[in-house]
Amino acid sequence: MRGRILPPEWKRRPAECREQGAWAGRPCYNCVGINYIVLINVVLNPCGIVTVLYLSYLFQSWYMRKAFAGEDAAVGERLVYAFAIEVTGRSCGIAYFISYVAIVLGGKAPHFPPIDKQDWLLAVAAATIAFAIVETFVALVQERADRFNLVLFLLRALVSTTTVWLIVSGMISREETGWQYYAWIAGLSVLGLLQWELNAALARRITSFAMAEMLVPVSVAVSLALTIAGDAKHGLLAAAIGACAGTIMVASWFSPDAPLARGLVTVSSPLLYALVLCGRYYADAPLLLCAFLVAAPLGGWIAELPPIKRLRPWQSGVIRLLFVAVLTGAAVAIANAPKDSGEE
Amino acid sequence: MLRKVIFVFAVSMLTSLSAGAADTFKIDPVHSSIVFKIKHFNASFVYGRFNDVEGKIVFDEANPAGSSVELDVKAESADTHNAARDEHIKKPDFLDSKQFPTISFKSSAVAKGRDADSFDISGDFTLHGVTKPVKVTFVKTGMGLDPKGNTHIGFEGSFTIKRSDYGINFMPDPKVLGDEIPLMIAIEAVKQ
Repeated sequence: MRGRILPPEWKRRPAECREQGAWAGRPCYNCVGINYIVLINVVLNPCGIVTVLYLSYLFQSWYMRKAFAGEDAAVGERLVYAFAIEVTGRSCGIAYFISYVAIVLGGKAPHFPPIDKQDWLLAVAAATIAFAIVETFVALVQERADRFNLVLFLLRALVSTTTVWLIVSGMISREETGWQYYAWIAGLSVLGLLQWELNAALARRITSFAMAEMLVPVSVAVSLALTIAGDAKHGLLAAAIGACAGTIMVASWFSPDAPLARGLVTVSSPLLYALVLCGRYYADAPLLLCAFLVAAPLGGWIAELPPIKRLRPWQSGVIRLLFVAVLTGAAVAIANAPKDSGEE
Repeated sequence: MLRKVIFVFAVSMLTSLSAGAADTFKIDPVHSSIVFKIKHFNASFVYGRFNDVEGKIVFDEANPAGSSVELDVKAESADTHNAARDEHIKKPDFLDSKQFPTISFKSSAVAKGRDADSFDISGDFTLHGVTKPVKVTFVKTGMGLDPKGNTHIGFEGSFTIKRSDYGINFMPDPKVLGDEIPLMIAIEAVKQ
């Protein structure tokens, strides 16, 4: 029955697919019409890595609770808490990293790494993995939290500034000179830092499930908007972050007390911001669209406003999701808006 | 006296037309064309061109090894007679013209070709930030004078690239968009 429905070119063998190699629109479909290479690189790969590391977290937390039972229970809990952040941050970073390598290498792109400046996103991903480990350490030494929070802030500032500089400095330098150039770099870096700080603060206030639930539509919207804007490669990479967020959402359902979303935010905030910058500067994505995409996860703060916070948790959750849905929906609508230039 | 004048005129004409030892020519963008084509849905070829081309040719007919070619093409000037498609071609899915604004060719060796007036040129072709060696056979299509007395020279050649070699992997199915892109280069250049 399926054979009769599907066109013959959809029934290619895997070997043929590997020969062709590519990252978007790949002509390799399985028997039900799913493009399985994209599926593996962008969805199954991140889901798998996050799941494996989550299972290792469950094992470690069981072991630590057992080892630090009794009088040292508080130490055990703190270790488990810190380990949850580290595991999720590391798993999302690694998942993104491997997706990137698979997508770029799968596409037979030459000069890897780096094929072009955009490949510095790998460096950003590596930085976020390192950052997750530092954050774990900070979570462990709570008695000196203030001092180490300053260290975290400075590291975030460093990652934000480096990200902006790597991605957009070449583009800005063609149009702006002197102080305007530095003003642009500084402004975009501060914006990146601000959204990261706000997302991290939000992840500390709301449940991991709620945070991940919010980051799924945001990642999907970034993916759709970039793909429509003519930057499918980065669109797929945003989808990989969405897959990580989706898996962590499920994991948070099973482990509601673990701060899994804090690790997710460590990776998703700088990388989604970097991807939006790529969309803006390389693919000419409209400014309003980019603003909506950066602001969308911050929409979660609306549920922290006193009148809404007084509502029942499910009610404030619905309001938060609606707000995020409006912003992401508007961004996708802008990306999809018909242009004067007509049809291709 | 008349003989001397005729002699001097003849010599000057000959030297200007024969383009003696290594003359330098500047590419005339108005009369030069870089045309490409790509297969669409495995059915037909869609043609396009780059409207903004510049560069120079150093041409020594007697000693082709002393010749050279440099071409710079603005990726932003891609034109396929469809505004939406032109816009998409310039995006990161294809040329990524914001990040890689220039497509270039720089010769590394020039040799006399098999046919009359043909030259085999080896060089580096840069597209989408990737540089690869290519070999092109250019044919000298002619040489003439404009009303102001400037010498114009013309060349034509073609070669085929695989876009996947240059990291342009969007829509890789050859049944949707071809991988091979033939490029036809017709250049007119003015002696400096």
